[in-house]
Amino acid sequence: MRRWLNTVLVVAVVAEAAVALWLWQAQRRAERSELHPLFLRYEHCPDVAAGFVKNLRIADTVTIDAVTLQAKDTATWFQLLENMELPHATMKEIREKYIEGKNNLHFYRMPKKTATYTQTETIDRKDFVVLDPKELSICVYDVENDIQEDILLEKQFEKISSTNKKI
Amino acid sequence: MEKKRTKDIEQMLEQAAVRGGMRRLAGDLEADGRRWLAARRRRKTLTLTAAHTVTLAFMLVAVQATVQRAEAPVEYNKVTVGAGADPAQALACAKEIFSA
Repeated sequence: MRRWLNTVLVVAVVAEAAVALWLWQAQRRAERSELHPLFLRYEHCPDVAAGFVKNLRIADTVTIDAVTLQAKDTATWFQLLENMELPHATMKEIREKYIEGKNNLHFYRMPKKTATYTQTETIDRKDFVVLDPKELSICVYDVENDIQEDILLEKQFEKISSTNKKI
Repeated sequence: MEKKRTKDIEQMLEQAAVRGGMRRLAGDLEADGRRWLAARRRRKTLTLTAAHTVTLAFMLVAVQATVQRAEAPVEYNKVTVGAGADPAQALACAKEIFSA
């Protein structure tokens, strides 16, 4: 009798441990899958402080995911820009303005490389990138719909207008 | 003749006593062995019950975490940072464009 009980207990222990391990790993996988590939790329980079903001509230009912990258020095920041494959003209403009001491925000639309598109989405959707030479930071907004895009464009317009007024 | 017969009987009785003693000893040994086996089995059952309790607790915690995660409301501005990064700074950076 006791021999059967021990066999049942061994089977139960193994099954419970397997279920617990599987659930724990599934949860960990789910958490990691929420992160943006760009964040995962720079997560362990010592010269870049990488951050990922999930569900950043940009309007009452609108949220967006954002990746923030902050370089430790100018060289790293320009290296980051090069890694992001910015057009040559944009890079040149940013460099020139940086040398002139004009640390304005720069805006750039980066083509999505890792996104999976559904039939309802337009193929040419791009991520919204804000480059801040003053803080040596890059913020990439993961644009997924037109509402997010409209809000970001509106904010871009407001920022540019306020900068022009200051000048 | 009489003397030899007496000696034989004494010898036979002595041998019978030895055999009886050995049987008793064997019986005692067998009982000891059975008790030891039963105790070992009991210890094994107790150990397995303890292990079962621990793994069951782990499994229940994992199930509860999974259910909670599925039912959790949307968490706004949830920040995850990499090595050496500051969550507050990352959030400020993401909000920069929205600041007046």
